[in-house]
Amino acid sequence: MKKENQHKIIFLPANRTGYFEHGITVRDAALELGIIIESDCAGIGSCAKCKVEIKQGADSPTIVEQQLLTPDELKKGVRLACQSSVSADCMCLVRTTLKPEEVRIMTEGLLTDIDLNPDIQKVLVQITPAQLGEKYFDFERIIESLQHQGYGISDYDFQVTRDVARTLRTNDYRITAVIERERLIAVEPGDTTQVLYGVVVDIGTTTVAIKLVNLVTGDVAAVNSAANPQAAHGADVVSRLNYIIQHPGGLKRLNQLIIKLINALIRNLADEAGIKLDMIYKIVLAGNTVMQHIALNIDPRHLAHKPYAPAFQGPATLAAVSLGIKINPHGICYAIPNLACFVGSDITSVLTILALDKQDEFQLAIDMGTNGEMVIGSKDRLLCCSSPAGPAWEGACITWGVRAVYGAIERAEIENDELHFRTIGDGDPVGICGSGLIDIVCEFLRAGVIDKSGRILNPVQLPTDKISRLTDFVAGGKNGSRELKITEIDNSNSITVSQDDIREIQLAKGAIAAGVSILIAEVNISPDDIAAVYIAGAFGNHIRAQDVLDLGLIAKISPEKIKFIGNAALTGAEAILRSGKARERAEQIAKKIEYIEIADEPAFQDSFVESLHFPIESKRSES
Amino acid sequence: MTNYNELQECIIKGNRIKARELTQECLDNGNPAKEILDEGLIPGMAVVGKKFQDGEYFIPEMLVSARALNIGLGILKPLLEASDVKPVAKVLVGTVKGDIHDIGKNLVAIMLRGSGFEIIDAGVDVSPEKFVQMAKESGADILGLSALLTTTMTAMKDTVDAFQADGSRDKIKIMIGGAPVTTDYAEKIGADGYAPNAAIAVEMAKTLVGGSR
Ligand code: B1M
Repeated sequence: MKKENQHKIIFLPANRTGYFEHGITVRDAALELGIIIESDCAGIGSCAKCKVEIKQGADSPTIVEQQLLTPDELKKGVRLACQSSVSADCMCLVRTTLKPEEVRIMTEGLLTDIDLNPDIQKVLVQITPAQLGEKYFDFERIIESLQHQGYGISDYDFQVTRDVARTLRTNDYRITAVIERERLIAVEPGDTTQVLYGVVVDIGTTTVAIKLVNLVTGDVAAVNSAANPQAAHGADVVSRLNYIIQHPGGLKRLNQLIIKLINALIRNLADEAGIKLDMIYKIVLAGNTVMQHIALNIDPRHLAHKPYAPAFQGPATLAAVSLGIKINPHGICYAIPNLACFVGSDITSVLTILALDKQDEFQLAIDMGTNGEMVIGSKDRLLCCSSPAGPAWEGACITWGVRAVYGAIERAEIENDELHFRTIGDGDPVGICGSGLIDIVCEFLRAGVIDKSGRILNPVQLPTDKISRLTDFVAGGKNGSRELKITEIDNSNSITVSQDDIREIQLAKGAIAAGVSILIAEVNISPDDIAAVYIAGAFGNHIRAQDVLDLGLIAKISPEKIKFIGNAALTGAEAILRSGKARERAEQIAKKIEYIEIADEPAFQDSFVESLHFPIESKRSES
Repeated sequence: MTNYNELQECIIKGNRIKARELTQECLDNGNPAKEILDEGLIPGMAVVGKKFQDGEYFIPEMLVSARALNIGLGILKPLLEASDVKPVAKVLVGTVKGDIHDIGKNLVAIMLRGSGFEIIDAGVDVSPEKFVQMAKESGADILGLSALLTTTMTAMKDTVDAFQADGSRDKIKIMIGGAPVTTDYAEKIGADGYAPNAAIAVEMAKTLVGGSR
């Protein structure tokens, strides 16, 4: 109901209504209702992507809006959701919201022999009405019945004792008990054993991915992703830590941003699958160490400085409501354990579905996020490190970089001197996501337009027989440098890859390559000895094995050994949701893995600098 | 008059062996060390700086050129000192406390050295007190601070403040840089200058000493 000093906002076309305090931004109000209005600048008012139309009762446009919107737009009532605040009842038309199918998250991974046997279970309990003179405590009889059926209960949520009498009697003494491991957490009237859902979330620094799983059938009910709204307070984990250190209440603010986003995403998934939030009893959280601390509202500030001490490794099992997460009010949140200061539970998840720790020969897993996290392992040893790559893989710091959203160039290929590319959803190109960027750089490298030092060659310096139609892609860019013109989007704008963008890629890939070589040296093998390399990441599409080699992420090994496993963190978290055994495995891995701090490795810098070049012999010789 | 194009080219291409040979050859031909520096090494390095700024060169190319430069400078140094040639100015460089990133700082040092500045490198993770002490000992004209982490930028302010507290702030110009640093920040903490890259760092350093003399 509307309280004093509140305004009613109706969001269309979603048709969701809410009542909000005077002055809340349209963007924040939308998020409260589960409507995610995407933007690039995370709401600081610089990208002008969060355009909405406000139909009635809008306040007057801010200076920022007057600068970023055309007079025509302003006349029509177009506003920026992050700038316009609510000062009267209004109706708001949201066109920019991404539909789930417009976002590409790689959902494949290796879910081998993970049986459906979750920690969260529903069990039907039928007891007979109590007879006078019998031992007739309702609650204890339920526990007894469960024990009879083989479900030992060692703990319970006290609220259950309050619910039990009524629940039993309204349904002929037939109830469904919800058990998380040996803990009885809820009772539902009647037989609802065929309805049980869980969600998994991978909280990346840049991208948050989420999946809704039907825990009765094992089917994935819906998947979605969104930009992490904390990005308004820094692009990487260190900036987020800095925000927390510098701003009183900073932790709370970042925590609220992520919890609200998770709630919005869950609500959308539930709508899409046509289920009620109450049917979801479990949420499993994965993410890097800092993201996880923030989501759990644990102060991570000591991760900012040497010796980078995390407050907590985990695992943790807690009530979802205690975090403000809106699933069933009795629902459970499980936070997957972290591995080290900059190697988080996302990697624990990846390792859970791989078998690095079970093989005779060493295998390697690399998660190409803002922090490149990598693990080498065999049955004898499991070793991880993190290398500061920067956010280039997810499109940040890149001129035309975007996350893997609708219209992002995700694939590119040069054939007969012509560049062909494909966008996500076949939409009009809006930018380039990680996989597209890697493709473009590697294709132009192989074609000899970029040389091994990463330089875009000057076509006029090439001998005439070396000039191909491809050099037409080379254009003059910012201050004296060159750029690659990929495609025109209108008369005045082209999507480009600048020389600086290539340098960003070089820094990112150099950091990963140096990390890999430190791991390989530490276990005392040569790159040939590695039996398999798994590459995970949220950059859109697969990256080709040949690209992995041409980027030089790892020294020459045979391309068949390289496997791309997509957003394996999300898949791994899903395995942990589906199976108690997988959860136990994750916890064992967290106990036994070793960690190397590469900042302390004298070999890192030389290796990093050496790895900045591309180990490729161009078809064309250098000018 | 000797043609220094070839020596310049050695620096630009980073040809160490030839840089040694040619520097020696110029000396053997009776050219003054100062001339070899001013017309061979420094202009060569200026081209390297330009190429870096234009995106032609990246870190490895800079480091290769730096090695060739250092060989030439090594040969000339005793002669320059003997003939009492003064460097443009003395610059104390270092990465601030809590931060161990030094590639950017090293590139700045290379470009400054290649422009005739004398460099004293304080290394990484350097405390404000250490900077104050080293500035005194070396008699540096400029202090160049580098920071790569959002969280260690504050140590730049601490360092400026330490000079203030010591009473030696007006004896030194302070220039700052590094990926998260901005002109605004430099102004805010009371530094004298900011440079976004190694080539501009040279111009800034020249302006700073030009202004004070
Ligand atoms: C005096 O006047 C001047 C004037 C101009 C000046 C100047 C001074 N100083 C610099 N300039 C300017 O001129 C230079 C040339 O034009 C430029 O210098 P730059 O230094 O900007 O540029 C260099 C030439 C090239 N750039 C670099 O050398 C930095 C590259 C990246 C990959 C990087 C590296 C290599 C390293 N790292 Co670090 N590292 C990253 C970087 C990510 C990236 N993609 O950029 C960054 C900087 N690191 C980061 C982090 C988080 C960390 N790192 C850490 C460690 C390391 C290594 C030791 C492994 C290694 C440094 C090796 C070394 N000896 O320097 C840790 C901290 C260690 C510490 N206490 O300092 C650790 C905390 C991570 C960890 N996992 O442990 C991030 C900082 C984020 C932030 N907002 O603060 C980061 C952006 C990567 C990321 N994840 O996003 C200009 O800025």
